[in-house]
Parts: sequence; C-alpha cells; structure tokens
Amino acid sequence: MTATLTRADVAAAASQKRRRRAPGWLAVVPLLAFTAVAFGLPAVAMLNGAFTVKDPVSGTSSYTASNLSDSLQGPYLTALVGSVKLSALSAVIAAVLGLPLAQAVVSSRSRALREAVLTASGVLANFGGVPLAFAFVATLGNAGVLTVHLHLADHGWDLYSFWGLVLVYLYFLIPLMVLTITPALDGLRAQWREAALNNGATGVQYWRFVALPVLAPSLLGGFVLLFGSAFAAYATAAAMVGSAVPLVTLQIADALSGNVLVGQENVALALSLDMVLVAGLVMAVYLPLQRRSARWLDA
Amino acid sequence: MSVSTPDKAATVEFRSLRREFGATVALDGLDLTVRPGEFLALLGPSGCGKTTALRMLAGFEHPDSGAVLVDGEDVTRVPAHRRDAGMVFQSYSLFPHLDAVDNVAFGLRMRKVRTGERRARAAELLDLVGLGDKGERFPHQLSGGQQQRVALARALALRPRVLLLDEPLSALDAKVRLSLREEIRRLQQELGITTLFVTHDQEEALSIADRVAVMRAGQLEQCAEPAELYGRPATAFVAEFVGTMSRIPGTVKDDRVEVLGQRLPFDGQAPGAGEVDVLVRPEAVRVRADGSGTATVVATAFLGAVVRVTVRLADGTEAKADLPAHEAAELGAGSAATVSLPERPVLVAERARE
Amino acid sequence: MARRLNLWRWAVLGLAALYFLIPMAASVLFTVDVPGEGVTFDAYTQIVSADGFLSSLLLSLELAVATIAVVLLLTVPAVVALRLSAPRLRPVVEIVCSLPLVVPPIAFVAGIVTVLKWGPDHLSRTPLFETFVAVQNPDFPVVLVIAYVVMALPFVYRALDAGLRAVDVRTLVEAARSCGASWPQALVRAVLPNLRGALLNASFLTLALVLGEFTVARLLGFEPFAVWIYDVGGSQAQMSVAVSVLSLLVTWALLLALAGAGGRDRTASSRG
Repeated sequence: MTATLTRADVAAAASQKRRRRAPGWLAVVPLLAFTAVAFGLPAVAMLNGAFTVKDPVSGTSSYTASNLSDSLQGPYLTALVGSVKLSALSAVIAAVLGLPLAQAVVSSRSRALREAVLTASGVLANFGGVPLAFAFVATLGNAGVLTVHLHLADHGWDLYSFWGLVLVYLYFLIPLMVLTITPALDGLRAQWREAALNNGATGVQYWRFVALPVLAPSLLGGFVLLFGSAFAAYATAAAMVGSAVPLVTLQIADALSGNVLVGQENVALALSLDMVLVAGLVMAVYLPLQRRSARWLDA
Repeated sequence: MSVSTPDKAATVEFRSLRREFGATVALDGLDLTVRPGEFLALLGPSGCGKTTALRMLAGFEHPDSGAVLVDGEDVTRVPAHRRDAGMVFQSYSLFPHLDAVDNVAFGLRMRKVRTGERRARAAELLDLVGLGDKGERFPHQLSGGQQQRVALARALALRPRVLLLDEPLSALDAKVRLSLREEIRRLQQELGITTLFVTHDQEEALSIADRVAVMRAGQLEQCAEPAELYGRPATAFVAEFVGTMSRIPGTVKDDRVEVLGQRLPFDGQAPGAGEVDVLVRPEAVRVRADGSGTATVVATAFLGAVVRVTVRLADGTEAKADLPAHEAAELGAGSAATVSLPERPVLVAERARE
Repeated sequence: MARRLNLWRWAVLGLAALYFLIPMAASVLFTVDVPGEGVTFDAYTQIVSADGFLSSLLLSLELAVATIAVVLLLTVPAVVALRLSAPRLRPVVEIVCSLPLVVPPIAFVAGIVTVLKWGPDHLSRTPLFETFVAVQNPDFPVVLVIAYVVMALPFVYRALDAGLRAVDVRTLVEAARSCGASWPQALVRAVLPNLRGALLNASFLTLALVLGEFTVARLLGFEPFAVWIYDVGGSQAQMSVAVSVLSLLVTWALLLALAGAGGRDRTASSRG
C-alpha cells in the first residue's frame, strides 16, 4: 500500500515537473506576440515613413532624411519648442505646487483627509482631455462664468493662450504630482528629522540638507513624469485652443488629417519620431532616478 | 586624543515630569538624577515612559509639567537643535544620501565648520568606532551593526554633554548586539560622557549600566546598581521584572514569615499581616529528592552550568530552582522532592490573585 | 509651533480646494444659468435625446469592456508565469510593457494610420485586406481595442506587478496544488482572489483611459464618447459642458466604487 502510494507520488511529481516547464514561458508568448504586432507594426511604420518620401508623380518611394530636417524647421520647429516649453513649465509649476500639497496631506494625522485627497487626485489626474477643456472654457473662456462676472477680459485675460494652457494643464498635473510624490514623502523617516535636529540643524536646514536631497530623485522623477504627460497631451489643447498655440501634437494631427497641406503625412511621422525621441530621453532620465529613490526610501 | 568629551561631565535631572498623550499617561511625575559621567539604563516594559523621558531630554517631546535640567540649567524650553545631547536612534536614522563620513560630519556642517576640518574629525570618530576604512560607504552598503556604529559616531561629533541611546541594539541580531554593547560601554568609559540608555531588555541593562532605573507606568520604581537591583529589589514589580522570580505562598506572623515550614525574617515592610507571597530567585531555592516529599518535579531544563528545575508544591503553586547538574541528576520529571529556602531574609509581596 | 504648522497646512489645502473646485462649480453654473433664460436644466435634460449621445456612450463602454478583457487575458497569465517559472523573462516583459509610455498617443496613431494605409495600397488583392477592413468596422472598431490595449499595458502591468509583490504566488500555488487543485484551479481559486485589488485597479485605469481617450479615436475617424463631446462642443456649448460635468461625476463614482471594493486590499498592501 505504502509502496504503491509512493510510486504514484513520484510519478505525479515527475509529470508535474515536466508539465511545469512548458506553461512558464508559453503564458508570456501571447503578450509578446500581441505587442510585437499591435505596437511593433505602427512603430516600424512610423520609423519607415519618417525616412521615406513618395514621389507624387511616379508614386515611387525613396529613403531620405528630409522629413526629419523639415520637422525641425519653420512652424514645425516652433511647435516642437512650444510643446517642450509648455510641458517643462507646467511640469515645474505642478511639481513645485504639488510638493507642499502632498506634504500637507502626509503630515496631517487625519486619515480621512489623506484618503479624500488621494482619491480626488486619482480622479483628477485621469480627468484630462476634452471634458477638462470644456470645464475651463465654461469657467475662464470668453463667455466663462468667472470671465464675465469678474470682467477678466478687461484685464487682458485670454484662456486660449500659452498661459491659459498652463493653467489648465496644472489641473491634472498637480494631482499627478501629489500621487507620485506622496509615497516618497511617506518614506521620509521621522528619525531623519530628529537626527538632523539632534545634530544642531534647524527645521529649515533639515529640509535644505536632508529632506530635499533625499527627495530629489523622486522630485525629478515626478517632474519627468509630468513633463511626459503634458508633452503627450493633445485632446485638451485641441478642444481648447484649436491651433492658436503652436504645439507639436496639434501639428501632427493637422498634418495627418491633411488639414494644412496634402502629402504632409511623412512629416507628421517625422514629428512623431521627434516626440518619441524626446519622450525616450525623458524616460532614460527617469528610470535610474526611480531606482535610486526606491533604494533610499524603502531601506 | 582630540576626540575627548567636554572637560567636565554633565549632571542630568528630571523633575516631576508629567506628560499625557490623550487618555494615556506616558510620564506620571518622573524624578530622576543622572550623575556626571554615569552610564544609566532606563529599563521597563513598553509603554512605561522610558523613551518619552529620553526624548524630552533630546527636546523632541515637551512635558505638560515638570522640568529637565542639565548641569542645573533648565533646558525644558530649549529647542531640540540646541540641546547639546547626542542621540542614537533605534535604527534607520542615517541620512541615506550621505556616506558615512558626511553623516558623521553633518552636525559640524550645520555649525559651518570648514569642509577639511569636519571631514578630518569625522574620520577620527569613525576610527573610534572601528569603521575607519568604511568612510566612503553609504548607509545601504553597511550592515545594521555598522550603521549603528556610524550613528554613534555622529551622535558624538558635536562633543555633546549627554549621550542618549534609544534602544540602539534592538534591531540587531544577537551576536552583533553583544559585541556592540561592549563597544558602547568601552567608548562611554573612555570618554566619560554622561549616558542614558533606554532598553526593555533587562539583561542588557544589568550588564552594561552603572545604575539601572526601572520604570513602570510613567513612574520610577527603583534606581540602583545592577547587583542591588537584583539582590534587593525595592518592589515586587522590580523583583519580577529583573531576573526570574518565583512566588511561594506564606503567612506573616510576628515579624517573620512562615513559608515551606520555615520561619524566615523578611526585608522591608510587610504588606499587612496574614497571607503573602514570598519572592525567591531560582538560585536561592533548594530542591532535594525525597520520596516522602510533598512537592513534585514538573520539568527540568538544562542551562549549561545549572539545571533549572520546576517543582509543583503541595498547594499547586510552581517554583523554579537552579541546581548544579550533579544535584539535579536524580530529579527526573514526576519524582517527589522537598523544597526549602536558605536562612536569609526574603522579600514578601501581597498575595497575587490567580 | 504646532499651531503655525496647522495654519500653513490649512492655507495650502484651502488654496488647492479653491483651484480644483472653482472650475467644477463654474461649469455647473454655466450649464444651469443660461443668459436670458434664467436657471434651467435644459442642458442636462437634452443630453439623453441628443443625437449620437447614446450610441457614442455605448461604443465607449463596449470598447472599454473589450479592452479590459483583452488586456487582462494577455497580462495576468504572463505576470503570474513570470513569478512562478520564467523569472528570466521578467526584464524583457517589463521593457516591452513600458515601451508604449515612450510613444505619445498622437505618435502611435500616426503609426497606425500609416499601417492601415498599407491595406488599400499594397494588400488590396490579398485576403489580409478583408482583415484590414474588418478591424475598421465603424460599428465596433477592433483597431481601437488593439490600440487601447497597447496604451493600457504599462499601467495594467504596473498595477498587477505591485499586486503580485504583496502576494507570495509560489506558496499560494504550491499550497493549492498540494490540496489537490489543478493548475487552472490553483490560478483561478487561489491566485486571482488575492489579486482582486490589483485587478480592480488595473480595470479602473483601463476604463478611465478608454472612456477619456480622444486622440486615437478622432484621428482614426471614429466617434466614441470623448469625440462626441468634442463634436457637440462646437454647436451646443451648454450641453457639452453639462456632459463634461457628468463624465467627471461618473469617473468619481467609479473610483469610489473601486475604493470601496478594493479598499481593504489597498491599505493592506500599502502597509506591507
């Protein structure tokens, strides 16, 4: 009886081992295959198109860098620079404003306040796009409630401008910053503050020499994330300013839908490639920072 | 060596400190004086207020009433960053973005000491704690014991008048804990700095401190040298918190206590005539194999030099006795025995309710 | 000192509340207080009967459900397998799942547009052409689901990875297996229930992404909810703002429901 049981067990264990080998990587295959097609194809198409020109007469294609150089000139360059400027500025402001807000929440002992602010941040960080644009149009647009009641137009207020966009972008960037930086602030240990005071540091010196340097990777990481988010944003700008403010996303959309000139699709792809390069650069900065702050704050 | 302490060690006084956190009373009128150059351990169960007292001296907590004095000077209102007391925390207090040298030199940087000078002094301090070669390491590259050594060096960097240790060993594993506590003791004696050491580990307190202050519910129970604390505990709480104690029922009659058929003198005041518990250390209990004895051996545990024998007395209470191995040989579990006490004054306490 | 700290905190929170509440309050005011008509709720009552409202909302919801189903079916087995038996593939999957973050939606859709043009340009004589037509069926544009799955991958992967970190999958599976469960049973009965919070989180993020997605849908010429709001905005300002307000409320409700359903998990994992 015992003997048969043991033999059965061994057999079961062996077959288990044999079977366990296969599903391991097989389960990953669909994911990788799907991404290869759904993401890889468009990416390759973009890359290929960015370096291709099609002769309108003969219909033949040839490889060239002219799309790319076109995309870095004239109105396209203006749009690219405009996007970078808008994203960088909004991200800096959101980071600077989001930090004290997150600190106000973290340093509070009220659990309800913390939950409320974090939940609200979760919603607002996702509240981009068209609805956000319309909410601001209703508030601060030409016929907006505040514009009309406070006669803002007399003071030169214009929502459909660079600074108007900054104001709107902050609406989802600040909550995003709060979500990003809160875990880092939670990771600041009370002992660090006490050890600093114990070593003769004032409260200000503690922030200057301990808290901010420790938070620096997270702050920079947060900034990078916000930058990427603002840089990629299209819907808000499209719904709000049309093309009053030159932005690279608006340029790509116009070129793609043939609004400006026919045959600009490949320049749109080159612009897309520019965007990917900027975003990739930003990611390359972000990842090592993320790793460092994780090491400091989780120890 | 230039890593010396101030010319004269400081006296620390806690005067009727009181502090409530909401409904809980953390300190309930604590009075305690720490002598210059003394190594004093604050010992007690968690929640007894020992850490609160230490943090008040560091300036992280403020008393509702009472005062903290250093060298006779009231520092109760002095902010934490001007307290002149170096503190070592339980763990994780090193600044993660600074290497060991910069951690130690942090206080000097706050004092605007020039870079070269402060790094030299930090290196000296790291040498002192045996980490002279680890100055370039960051906290995450150091073991727990090494981190606490760096923290110790950092606490000493500003030549504080008092050194505060808040359970600095509790996060370390047993071996490191032993070696580091000897190291701390050596350093403290070398520097002659007045030191307060908070711990809940009685063995640690007894082995390292000049005097041990046992606290309970925000008050001081007894402050005495380790030997006295162990041998002549002032209260039943101290007796049972420090070391092992057995309670044996007895009766107080005419300045003597009747226990186990003996009449013994007792220390101090009896809690009243009649039924009491006699408190005895295991090394003071004698157990003899005796076929007609009324006690029964319940269990034996081999502890190395001695064997700890647990016996059940006729009335059902259990007592522990430490016997030399050869005496315990005939005391197997279940064997009958006789229990007696030496003719010495014993400690009595109110009868414990079951 | 403590009081000053409190004052500072309330000042910060108060300013934040002003900035975040005013646009919402103003939007509501804008929709109900129509110049010349006084207070009216017409903007809201008209929504339901508005042309395209129901169909676009339904389309968005269908897309969301399909996207959530596909993205979870693709990622859940993969991340569990990575923990259990193929840890060496982990960096690969991590990178693959992070790649879409580097490609902004507008650039991604530019690529998709190009690929879709291959259909008529090069493939018109092959059976693949049928596929290209089928994925662009305006009643249910599969191409959007494909695009949204790619866009949701980074968030879903992270949510699941974080959830799995809090759970010892190997022990769970081994315990279930030793109790006689088969592999699929172990996965469904032991692992998935412990991932409830992470799955809900991933689903919510995907839902929010799909409901709000505008860029890809508009440039591919479809009209789900976000695009409909945009199109309506040109002609009926009041109503478009009213819909915006409603869509925000819906997002709130969804997130609160999620917090209620997965709240315990979240606190548990944040402590661990």
